[in-house]
Amino acid sequence: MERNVLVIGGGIAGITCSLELAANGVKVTLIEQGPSIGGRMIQLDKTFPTLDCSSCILTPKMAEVSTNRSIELLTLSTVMEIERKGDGFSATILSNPRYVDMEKCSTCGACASACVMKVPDEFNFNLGKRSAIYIPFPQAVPQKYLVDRNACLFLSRGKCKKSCLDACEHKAINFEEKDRLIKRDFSAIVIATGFDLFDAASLGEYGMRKRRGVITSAELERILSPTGPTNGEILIEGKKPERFFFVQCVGSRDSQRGVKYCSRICCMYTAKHAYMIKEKLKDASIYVSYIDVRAYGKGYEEFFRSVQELGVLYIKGIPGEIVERGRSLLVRVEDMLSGELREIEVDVVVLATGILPSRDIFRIGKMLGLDLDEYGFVKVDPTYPSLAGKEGVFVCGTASGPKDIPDTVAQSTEAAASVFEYICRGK
Amino acid sequence: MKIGLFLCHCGHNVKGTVDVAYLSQYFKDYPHVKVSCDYPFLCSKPGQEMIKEAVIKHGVDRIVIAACAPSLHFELFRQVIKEAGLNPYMLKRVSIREHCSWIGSDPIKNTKKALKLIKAGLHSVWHAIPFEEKKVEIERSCLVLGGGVAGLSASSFLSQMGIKVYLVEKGGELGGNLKALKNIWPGEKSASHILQILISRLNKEYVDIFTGAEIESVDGHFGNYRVQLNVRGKRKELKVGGIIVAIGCTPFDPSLKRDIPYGRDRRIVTTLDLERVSELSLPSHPRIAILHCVGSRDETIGRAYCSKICCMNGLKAAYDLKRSYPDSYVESFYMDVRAHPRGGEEFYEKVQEKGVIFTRSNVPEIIPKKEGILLRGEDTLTGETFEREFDLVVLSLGIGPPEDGKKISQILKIPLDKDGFFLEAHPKMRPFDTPIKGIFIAGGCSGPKDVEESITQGRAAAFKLFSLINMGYALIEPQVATVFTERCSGCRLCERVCPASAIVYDHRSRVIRIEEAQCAGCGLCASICPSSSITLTGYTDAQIIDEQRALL
Amino acid sequence: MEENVKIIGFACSYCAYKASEMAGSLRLKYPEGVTIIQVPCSSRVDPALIIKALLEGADGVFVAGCHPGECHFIKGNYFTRRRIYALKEMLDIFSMKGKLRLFWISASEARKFVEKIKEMHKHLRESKR
Repeated sequence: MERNVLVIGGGIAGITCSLELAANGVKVTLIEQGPSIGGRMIQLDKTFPTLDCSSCILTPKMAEVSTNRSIELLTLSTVMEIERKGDGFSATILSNPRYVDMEKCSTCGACASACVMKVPDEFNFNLGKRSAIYIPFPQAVPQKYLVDRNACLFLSRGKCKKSCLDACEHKAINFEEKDRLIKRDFSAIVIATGFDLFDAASLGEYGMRKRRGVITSAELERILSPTGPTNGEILIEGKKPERFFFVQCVGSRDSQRGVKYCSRICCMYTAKHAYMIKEKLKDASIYVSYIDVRAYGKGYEEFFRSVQELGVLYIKGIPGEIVERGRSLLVRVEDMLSGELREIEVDVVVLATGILPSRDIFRIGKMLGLDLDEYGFVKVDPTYPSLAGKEGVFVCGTASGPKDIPDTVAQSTEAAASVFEYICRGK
Repeated sequence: MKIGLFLCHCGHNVKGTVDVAYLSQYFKDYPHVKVSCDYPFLCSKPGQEMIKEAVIKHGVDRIVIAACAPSLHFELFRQVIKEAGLNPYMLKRVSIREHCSWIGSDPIKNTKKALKLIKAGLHSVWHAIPFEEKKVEIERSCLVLGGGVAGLSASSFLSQMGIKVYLVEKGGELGGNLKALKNIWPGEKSASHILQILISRLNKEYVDIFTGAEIESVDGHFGNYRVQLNVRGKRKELKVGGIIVAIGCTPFDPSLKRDIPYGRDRRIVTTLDLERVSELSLPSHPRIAILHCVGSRDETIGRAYCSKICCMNGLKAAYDLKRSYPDSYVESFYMDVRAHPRGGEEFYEKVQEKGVIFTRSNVPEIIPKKEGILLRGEDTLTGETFEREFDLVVLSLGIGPPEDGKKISQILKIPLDKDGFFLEAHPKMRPFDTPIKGIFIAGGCSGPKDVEESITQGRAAAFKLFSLINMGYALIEPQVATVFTERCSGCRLCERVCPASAIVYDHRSRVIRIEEAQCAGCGLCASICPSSSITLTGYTDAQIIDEQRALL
Repeated sequence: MEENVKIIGFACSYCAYKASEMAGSLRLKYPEGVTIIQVPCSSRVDPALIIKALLEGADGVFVAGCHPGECHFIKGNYFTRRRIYALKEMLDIFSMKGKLRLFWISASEARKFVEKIKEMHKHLRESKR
């Protein structure tokens, strides 16, 4: 009997787990909600603490997924239903249309230039624009264009000149494509649904989306990226800022308005951002406010020290308020080290938002009857870190709690080991 | 000869300071170059297609890719040209990013340098020969060094999968650091229970356990290692396909920090000591201090790193003491509370609710007095100095590198990092690999880790090794030495220097022969041969000379 | 015009070449006149190759291998050490001893590698004036 494994989520966790299983001849169906695999990691420019570029280490893996014959990749797809069947599962997957024939599309981009509809680009956290027919980012896998059916004037309103059809020399665009329901049997399921970011706008005092110059770390990540909306130049709302204030623990370690747990990555990505800004703007003044600096991983403490040595100022305390003063922002913060209430004038405030379990986990958890913790992460036993508590169901990456990239890679490989052990046992 | 030259922009990474378009134009007329072009991301799908197309459409028979360092995307590009129908050895990678655009900032100088590097690459590819990979038999067995959490986890996976495991433990029994502990945080299971679970997962049929054993030497290669063991004074030889190093980490020895009078005063104990003693002799209303970061984040003792797990140990000690002595006063002295693991923050809050006081300070000065231990330091929140007396001082110990790290590193030829832990082949993408194929690292020996992480790493490393040896055979790179027997004088110098014992002297014909499966491909013989009769494929004299000529 | 100093470096693929890659990823800067050839082991470097490079216009040559005792091929770098020492003696006769250097660089020593290169470059540039 052939053994198929369903991996839900195409981020670094799902990719690693799929590749490790495929390397041992297991057939894998990898499904991803979005138009490309790569997850959160591909949105990063660099990774802490070694600062190696994220796409340099991830794109080879993504390409491998697309070339590996043991992996079936379904993008724009979600699980609708999962039922137990024999000692395995029967899953119904909804696959949304691309409206672009993947066989025909040559990724030339002519359609995108012809498209008249421009919408905010979610890959760049809406900082840039893209057309309604688009490729999410240059290294996307699959390397094919697609039509955003909510943005496309023809698909959403039925009214458009459809100049993309003329522009496409390969006649790859097909507005007749329909949703597909795919029914498939699997021996095991791996949950790698990853995380969502805390919505900083819910904390009123920081003025996210209200005050100019207040951005999230995720947005800054794209601004710093050479493939981002500003080609890596530090331009925020058209201005070249020189004074930065980072607020850590936005939504994390805040049981009243956010979540109680520590998100484990924000201290380090903030240090990384400070470092990258200093690299580009030598004279930038940078403040970081924190509760504890949790630089716990290999090389993290040393990296944090090197950031301090660059002249980045760390302030213990979390700002009470951020207000506008003229063209600047005024941060009011009690410096717990000196005890004084400080007012710091800056150009940009960056909110280091914490991570939340992916919204999808609640839906999938319900389908499989999983035991989730009070926040929505999958509960696991420390002696079997990838067992989701139900037979044949496994979990990896941040779906079982906040993790950095090294931990995610390690845990996803371990999940692959557990899946392999499980499906071999049945033989 | 038709060469296809491909230059990668790597987004801005190369293009930013190297005039890629000029270079691809420049090389269009270079000898033997048939195709010369540049592309934003050669590693992307269309980039790969472009390379394949050059082979299929233009009949290109060798490829030069000028992009990132050769170690990146190595398999990817090889696969691409394989899929295009070319022998993978017809590929030459030129690093114009790590060795050019990233190490200089002047666009003119960088472009000039890239031009030289690409020329060298073209000259080198002139000499390329289509080699075929060879299939070799490998042992479906492995050596696991260390019987702690990671080593047991690795052994259990491999033995369950039917791989013969030789589990070698230096100490008298299995268990590693877990043996010394009673309860570990988060405390749902006791340390001995966890150990029991891990041992019960071993498939006894496939595991040979050697306690009181150490390795003395290892030779051979991936798939066929010969290991000499010393088992309680007796020698034993093993043949294994791969090795997992899981020799763990060592708790910091506080007597190394001179200013701490540990061992000289019984009122100063470590978090580990607390695990050993069943009862403490404390007065009523005891005053207890917990000192965090003893042996961590401390450059004065050469340990700048954070030990990752001791904040939780310190919190657990505070919690346990407060619970056992409800009328006690417990104060924790910390630099940052790194309660990062799952459930850590919640526990930290619980400890605070229990009434433990937290004072931000570096490790305070410890002055034993008759009536108590005086701690003197600076509260780094208020800036005020404090002097307080305690009846018990608990040191939350940091984690040091493996005891035998140096020895194992030398025997297996795998590198250590600056702190004495094993160095990963890549800290993120290959956290269990070493630079040597078939040798993996797992658990605390590559950096401080808790139980869950060690289990994860042990099992993951085991799976990586399993993928390599499960088939019972492997394909070996054909980069080996070859002899022109006509030129060989039979001086046998090479035979004496070869580290792999791959050179055989033929007494009848009085020339040497090379045992290809044995050859490690170092080239020592090629450079020592007085008559230049040995060459190392892929690195021949002519090739290197042509290459260096292009660079000058 | 400033005379460009040209240095050819042979770097062992197990250690020094990895360090040179890391130097790049850390964006450590060193003069563009330094170019590196990857070899499987420092012991692959035949003295003839070094002499050839010097004759054909290199201002300097360095060989970078693993630290003594850390050779992937167990004893390759010991041969390198002896060989480079002997070659240096020979070059000394022509007052060219300074043109050849031997470095021990491990895979993680990117910074040290760059320091060594810069120091050698500086020395050669000064002696060229």
